[in-house]
Amino acid sequence: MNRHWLRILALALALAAPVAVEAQTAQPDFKVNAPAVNALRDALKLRFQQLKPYLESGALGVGAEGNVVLRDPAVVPLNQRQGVKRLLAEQERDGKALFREIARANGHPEWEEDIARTFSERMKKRRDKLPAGWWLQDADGSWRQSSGG
Amino acid sequence: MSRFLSLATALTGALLVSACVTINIYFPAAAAEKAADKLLDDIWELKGDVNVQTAPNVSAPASTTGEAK
Repeated sequence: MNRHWLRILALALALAAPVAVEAQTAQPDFKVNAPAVNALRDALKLRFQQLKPYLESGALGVGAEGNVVLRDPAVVPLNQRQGVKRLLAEQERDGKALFREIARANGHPEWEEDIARTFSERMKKRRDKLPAGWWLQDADGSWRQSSGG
Repeated sequence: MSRFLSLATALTGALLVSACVTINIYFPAAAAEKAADKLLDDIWELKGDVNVQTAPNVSAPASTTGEAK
Protein backbone atom coordinates (compact mmCIF):
# COMPACT_ATOMS: atom_id res chain seq x y z
CA MET A 1 0.00 0.00 0.00
CA ASN A 2 2.73 2.38 1.05
CA ARG A 3 4.75 1.61 -2.07
CA HIS A 4 1.64 2.12 -4.17
CA TRP A 5 1.30 5.73 -3.00
CA LEU A 6 4.98 6.33 -3.54
CA ARG A 7 4.54 5.27 -7.14
CA ILE A 8 1.61 7.63 -7.63
CA LEU A 9 3.60 10.48 -6.08
CA ALA A 10 6.54 9.74 -8.35
CA LEU A 11 4.25 9.61 -11.38
CA ALA A 12 2.72 12.96 -10.43
CA LEU A 13 6.21 14.38 -10.15
CA ALA A 14 7.11 13.01 -13.56
CA LEU A 15 4.06 14.71 -15.06
CA ALA A 16 4.56 18.00 -13.23
CA ALA A 17 8.25 18.43 -14.02
CA PRO A 18 7.87 19.17 -17.74
CA VAL A 19 5.10 21.68 -17.02
CA ALA A 20 7.48 23.57 -14.72
CA VAL A 21 10.21 23.52 -17.37
CA GLU A 22 7.79 24.74 -20.02
CA ALA A 23 6.58 27.59 -17.83
CA GLN A 24 10.16 28.75 -17.42
CA THR A 25 10.79 28.80 -21.16
CA ALA A 26 7.38 30.17 -22.12
CA GLN A 27 8.68 33.54 -23.36
CA PRO A 28 12.29 33.10 -24.44
CA ASP A 29 14.18 35.88 -26.15
CA PHE A 30 14.02 36.00 -29.91
CA LYS A 31 17.39 36.88 -31.34
CA VAL A 32 17.87 38.69 -34.63
CA ASN A 33 21.22 40.23 -33.84
CA ALA A 34 23.83 37.89 -35.26
CA PRO A 35 26.58 38.64 -37.80
CA ALA A 36 25.05 36.40 -40.48
CA VAL A 37 21.59 37.93 -39.96
CA ASN A 38 22.93 41.48 -40.09
CA ALA A 39 24.88 40.77 -43.27
CA LEU A 40 21.79 39.39 -45.00
CA ARG A 41 19.63 42.29 -43.80
CA ASP A 42 22.15 44.76 -45.26
CA ALA A 43 22.28 42.84 -48.55
CA LEU A 44 18.47 42.85 -48.74
CA LYS A 45 18.35 46.59 -47.99
CA LEU A 46 20.95 47.37 -50.61
CA ARG A 47 19.23 45.30 -53.28
CA PHE A 48 15.88 46.82 -52.40
CA GLN A 49 17.35 50.17 -53.46
CA GLN A 50 18.13 48.66 -56.86
CA LEU A 51 14.63 47.14 -57.13
CA LYS A 52 12.86 50.36 -56.12
CA PRO A 53 12.78 52.05 -59.58
CA TYR A 54 11.14 48.92 -61.00
CA LEU A 55 8.59 48.83 -58.18
CA GLU A 56 7.82 52.48 -58.96
CA SER A 57 7.43 51.84 -62.68
CA GLY A 58 5.14 48.87 -62.07
CA ALA A 59 7.48 46.36 -63.67
CA LEU A 60 7.64 44.72 -60.26
CA GLY A 61 5.00 44.28 -57.60
CA VAL A 62 4.70 42.88 -54.10
CA GLY A 63 3.23 39.40 -53.94
CA ALA A 64 0.75 38.04 -51.41
CA GLU A 65 3.62 36.46 -49.48
CA GLY A 66 5.41 39.79 -49.22
CA ASN A 67 7.91 38.82 -51.89
CA VAL A 68 8.88 40.92 -54.90
CA VAL A 69 7.43 39.53 -58.14
CA LEU A 70 7.78 40.34 -61.81
CA ARG A 71 4.51 42.04 -62.79
CA ASP A 72 5.03 43.54 -66.22
CA PRO A 73 8.38 42.74 -67.90
CA ALA A 74 7.37 44.85 -70.91
CA VAL A 75 7.91 48.01 -68.80
CA VAL A 76 11.59 47.11 -68.37
CA PRO A 77 13.92 48.08 -71.23
CA LEU A 78 15.06 44.95 -72.99
CA ASN A 79 18.72 45.37 -72.02
CA GLN A 80 17.75 45.53 -68.30
CA ARG A 81 15.38 42.57 -68.18
CA GLN A 82 17.94 39.91 -67.38
CA GLY A 83 19.42 42.13 -64.68
CA VAL A 84 16.04 42.60 -63.01
CA LYS A 85 15.38 38.87 -63.06
CA ARG A 86 18.77 38.26 -61.47
CA LEU A 87 18.07 40.84 -58.75
CA LEU A 88 14.74 39.15 -58.00
CA ALA A 89 16.34 35.73 -57.73
CA GLU A 90 19.07 37.08 -55.45
CA GLN A 91 16.54 38.87 -53.23
CA GLU A 92 14.51 35.68 -52.88
CA ARG A 93 17.62 33.64 -52.09
CA ASP A 94 18.78 36.10 -49.41
CA GLY A 95 15.29 36.31 -47.96
CA LYS A 96 15.22 32.54 -47.45
CA ALA A 97 18.74 32.64 -46.03
CA LEU A 98 17.63 35.35 -43.60
CA PHE A 99 14.91 33.08 -42.15
CA ARG A 100 17.38 30.21 -41.88
CA GLU A 101 20.01 32.35 -40.14
CA ILE A 102 17.51 33.84 -37.68
CA ALA A 103 16.42 30.30 -36.78
CA ARG A 104 20.05 29.31 -36.35
CA ALA A 105 20.86 32.42 -34.28
CA ASN A 106 18.14 31.32 -31.89
CA GLY A 107 19.58 27.83 -31.67
CA HIS A 108 16.46 26.37 -33.33
CA PRO A 109 17.05 25.57 -37.01
CA GLU A 110 13.64 23.87 -37.01
CA TRP A 111 11.98 27.30 -36.58
CA GLU A 112 12.89 28.30 -40.14
CA GLU A 113 9.41 27.66 -41.53
CA ASP A 114 7.69 29.37 -38.60
CA ILE A 115 9.90 32.41 -39.16
CA ALA A 116 9.19 32.45 -42.90
CA ARG A 117 5.45 32.26 -42.19
CA THR A 118 5.69 35.04 -39.58
CA PHE A 119 7.49 37.34 -42.02
CA SER A 120 5.00 36.78 -44.83
CA GLU A 121 2.05 37.31 -42.48
CA ARG A 122 3.52 40.53 -41.10
CA MET A 123 4.41 41.79 -44.58
CA LYS A 124 0.84 41.12 -45.72
CA LYS A 125 -0.32 43.54 -43.02
CA ARG A 126 2.37 46.14 -43.63
CA ARG A 127 2.65 46.28 -47.41
CA ASP A 128 -0.27 48.70 -47.70
CA LYS A 129 2.09 51.25 -46.17
CA LEU A 130 4.28 51.06 -49.25
CA PRO A 131 4.31 54.21 -51.40
CA ALA A 132 1.13 55.02 -53.32
CA GLY A 133 1.01 53.54 -56.79
CA TRP A 134 3.11 50.46 -56.06
CA TRP A 135 1.45 47.26 -57.22
CA LEU A 136 0.24 44.67 -54.72
CA GLN A 137 -0.87 41.19 -55.70
CA ASP A 138 -3.59 39.47 -53.69
CA ALA A 139 -3.81 35.77 -52.95
CA ASP A 140 -6.18 35.20 -55.90
CA GLY A 141 -3.56 36.61 -58.28
CA SER A 142 -5.31 39.94 -58.89
CA TRP A 143 -3.37 43.21 -58.79
CA ARG A 144 -4.22 46.49 -57.10
CA GLN A 145 -2.25 49.65 -56.42
CA SER A 146 -1.21 50.77 -52.96
CA SER A 147 -2.99 53.87 -51.73
CA GLY A 148 0.12 54.78 -49.76
CA GLY A 149 -1.20 53.84 -46.31
CA MET B 1 15.42 -1.49 -1.38
CA SER B 2 12.53 -2.03 -3.76
CA ARG B 3 11.03 1.30 -2.66
CA PHE B 4 14.29 3.02 -3.42
CA LEU B 5 14.39 1.35 -6.82
CA SER B 6 10.92 2.46 -7.83
CA LEU B 7 11.64 6.00 -6.69
CA ALA B 8 14.89 6.07 -8.66
CA THR B 9 13.10 4.75 -11.74
CA ALA B 10 10.39 7.37 -11.45
CA LEU B 11 12.90 10.17 -10.96
CA THR B 12 14.88 9.05 -13.99
CA GLY B 13 11.62 8.99 -15.94
CA ALA B 14 10.79 12.52 -14.80
CA LEU B 15 14.20 13.71 -15.84
CA LEU B 16 13.87 12.13 -19.28
CA VAL B 17 10.41 13.56 -19.88
CA SER B 18 11.43 17.07 -18.83
CA ALA B 19 14.59 16.83 -20.95
CA CYS B 20 12.45 16.12 -24.00
CA VAL B 21 10.30 19.16 -23.30
CA THR B 22 13.30 21.48 -22.98
CA ILE B 23 14.34 20.49 -26.50
CA ASN B 24 10.85 21.11 -27.86
CA ILE B 25 10.50 24.75 -26.83
CA TYR B 26 7.58 26.15 -28.77
CA PHE B 27 8.02 28.97 -31.27
CA PRO B 28 7.82 32.41 -29.56
CA ALA B 29 5.30 33.86 -32.02
CA ALA B 30 4.79 37.25 -30.36
CA ALA B 31 8.50 38.00 -30.07
CA ALA B 32 9.07 36.79 -33.63
CA GLU B 33 6.33 39.08 -34.95
CA LYS B 34 7.95 42.08 -33.29
CA ALA B 35 11.33 41.17 -34.73
CA ALA B 36 9.80 40.61 -38.18
CA ASP B 37 8.07 44.02 -38.09
CA LYS B 38 11.34 45.71 -37.23
CA LEU B 39 13.30 43.99 -39.97
CA LEU B 40 10.57 44.52 -42.58
CA ASP B 41 10.33 48.23 -41.73
CA ASP B 42 14.09 48.47 -42.06
CA ILE B 43 14.43 46.59 -45.36
CA TRP B 44 11.30 48.03 -47.03
CA GLU B 45 11.71 51.55 -45.57
CA LEU B 46 8.25 51.42 -44.02
CA LYS B 47 9.03 53.47 -40.91
CA GLY B 48 7.93 56.90 -42.11
CA ASP B 49 4.75 55.45 -43.55
CA VAL B 50 3.84 53.75 -40.28
CA ASN B 51 3.46 57.15 -38.60
CA VAL B 52 1.37 58.47 -41.47
CA GLN B 53 -0.83 55.39 -41.18
CA THR B 54 -1.54 55.81 -37.45
CA ALA B 55 -2.51 59.49 -37.84
CA PRO B 56 -6.13 58.93 -39.05
CA ASN B 57 -6.83 56.80 -35.97
CA VAL B 58 -6.66 59.91 -33.79
CA SER B 59 -10.23 60.76 -34.82
CA ALA B 60 -11.41 57.67 -32.94
CA PRO B 61 -11.87 58.56 -29.24
CA ALA B 62 -9.58 56.93 -26.63
CA SER B 63 -7.86 53.55 -27.09
CA THR B 64 -5.10 55.13 -29.19
CA THR B 65 -2.54 54.14 -26.57
CA GLY B 66 -3.39 50.47 -26.89
CA GLU B 67 -0.88 49.53 -29.52
CA ALA B 68 2.80 49.82 -28.78
CA LYS B 69 4.83 51.05 -31.70
